[in-house]
Amino acid sequence: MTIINCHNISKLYKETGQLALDNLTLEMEAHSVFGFLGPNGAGKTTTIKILTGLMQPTSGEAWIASEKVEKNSIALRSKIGYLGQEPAMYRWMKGKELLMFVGDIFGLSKSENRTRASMLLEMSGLTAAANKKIASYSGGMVQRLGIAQALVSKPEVLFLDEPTSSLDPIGRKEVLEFIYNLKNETTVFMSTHILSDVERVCDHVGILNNGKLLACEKLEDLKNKFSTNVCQIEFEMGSNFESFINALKGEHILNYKISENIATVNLMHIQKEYKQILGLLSTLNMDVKRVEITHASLEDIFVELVKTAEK
Amino acid sequence: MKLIVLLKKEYLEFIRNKKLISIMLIFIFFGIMSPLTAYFIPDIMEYVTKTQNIKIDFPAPTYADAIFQFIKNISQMCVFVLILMNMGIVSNEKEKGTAIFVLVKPVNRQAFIFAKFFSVLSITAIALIASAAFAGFYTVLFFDTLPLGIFVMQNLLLLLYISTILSITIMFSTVVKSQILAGILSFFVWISFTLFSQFGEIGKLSPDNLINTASTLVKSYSIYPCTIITSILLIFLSLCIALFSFVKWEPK
Repeated sequence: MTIINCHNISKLYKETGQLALDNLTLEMEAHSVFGFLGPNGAGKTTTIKILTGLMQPTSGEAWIASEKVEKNSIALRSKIGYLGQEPAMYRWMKGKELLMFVGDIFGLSKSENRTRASMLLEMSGLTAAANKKIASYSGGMVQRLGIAQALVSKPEVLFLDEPTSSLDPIGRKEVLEFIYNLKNETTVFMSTHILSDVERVCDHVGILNNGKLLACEKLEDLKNKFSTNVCQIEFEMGSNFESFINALKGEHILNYKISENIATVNLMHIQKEYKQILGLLSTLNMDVKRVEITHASLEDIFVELVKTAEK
Repeated sequence: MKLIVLLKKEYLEFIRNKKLISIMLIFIFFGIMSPLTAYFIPDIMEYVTKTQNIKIDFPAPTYADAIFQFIKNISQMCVFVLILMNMGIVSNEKEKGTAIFVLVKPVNRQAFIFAKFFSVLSITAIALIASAAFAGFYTVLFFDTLPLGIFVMQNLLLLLYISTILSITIMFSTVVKSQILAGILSFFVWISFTLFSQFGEIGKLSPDNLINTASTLVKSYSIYPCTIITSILLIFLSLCIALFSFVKWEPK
């Protein structure tokens, strides 16, 4: 089921004349974790601000959970949760108090509010700190509380704007695990420029650069699309693989690199040459640890897409 | 409903960041000090001049001096403190991102601004009532008399004056980005009211005339209704500008 549907959204900042978003069109499936990737200034935050009804697009339309996206729409905001780039919360409040305050805004009954707050505190690992002031929380705790408050109303879509960018490695790990476990609860739309975070928790990915969407599909499909024609052969340490190199030359496979015990071969015809390599290794009876056709990493894909777009 | 939730949050914030207790203490301090000063100043002055062999006869102070002192202190010192305390009431939330934290939830922007106005004005009103109660008590204690009806009227004029200045402060805090700028603009308008009140008949439209009226109410019971209307219009206009600006605002 499609839960986010954006159609030709553009945003022009009149004061600076900057086109922050250029005809953004994307669809997103329910109960997925969507990683919205892009370099700084690509338009990720602008997209989130438009989709959460904080900002008016210059043109285009969008729907979230069948609700039309409009600036200041109460109906839209009843269906979403949001955590901004820097988790701005009332730091003079206590953790539980903040969740109850959010519950009151959403009109939860007293008992429902108390139960939901306790449940979310447990889910975010903050039960012990529930009655401490937020000002005393660590960065990771604040971020987890930020996500918890965004979940109070059981939103259909949760928007997280760079949720890990200001955290130390431990805080990042905690928050990413928390996000990963939300899959069954809601749909997560997470913007970030940290590629490894996307690889860890997201199943769908969109890549944005200069306000233009360069790719938007399942992470797996994107990786397959960009799979390289590179075959890596890792030999056992100390093995003499000169005979294999000579044999490669004999088969007219000349585009290769050797680094320590790994031979990286660029294939012109993947299937045919891959079979030839396997045949040679078998004939020469080489001690091999690993033979594989490597997939492009998200970083490779990202760099390639951004570079191509900039050309 | 949402307004009540936001109001509760505002009051809680006033308690937690100790603004409530500070405002109460400052108002009560001037409520107590005003009649005390009026009562003891002639004695102090007489003592000081006597040590320097100068003889000046000071008239015996009356309850009118105590009330005059009270109105002067509240309309100057307390208003100064109130502007300082409230110049960041909206701009700070916009700057820190807590405004977005609330606005991305099903709350309309008007409720956010109304909650700010009501909380600040109601707390100020309570502080003024407490201050007036102390001032009234000590005035009766030292001067044996206090015309209650006039004193209530004076405090209502004082409250309208403070509300006008506060509304303008909240409006500037909503319209401009920095709290410092909001404070500077509020002080500028506040001083302008005093200057404008010097311009003869037209100057009577200035909210500052509320203070002049309140100060002379003991001697002559004459209230210029246009001043009251101007002040109420200014409060209404400030609220409208704040609402319009906040509804249009887009976080960067």
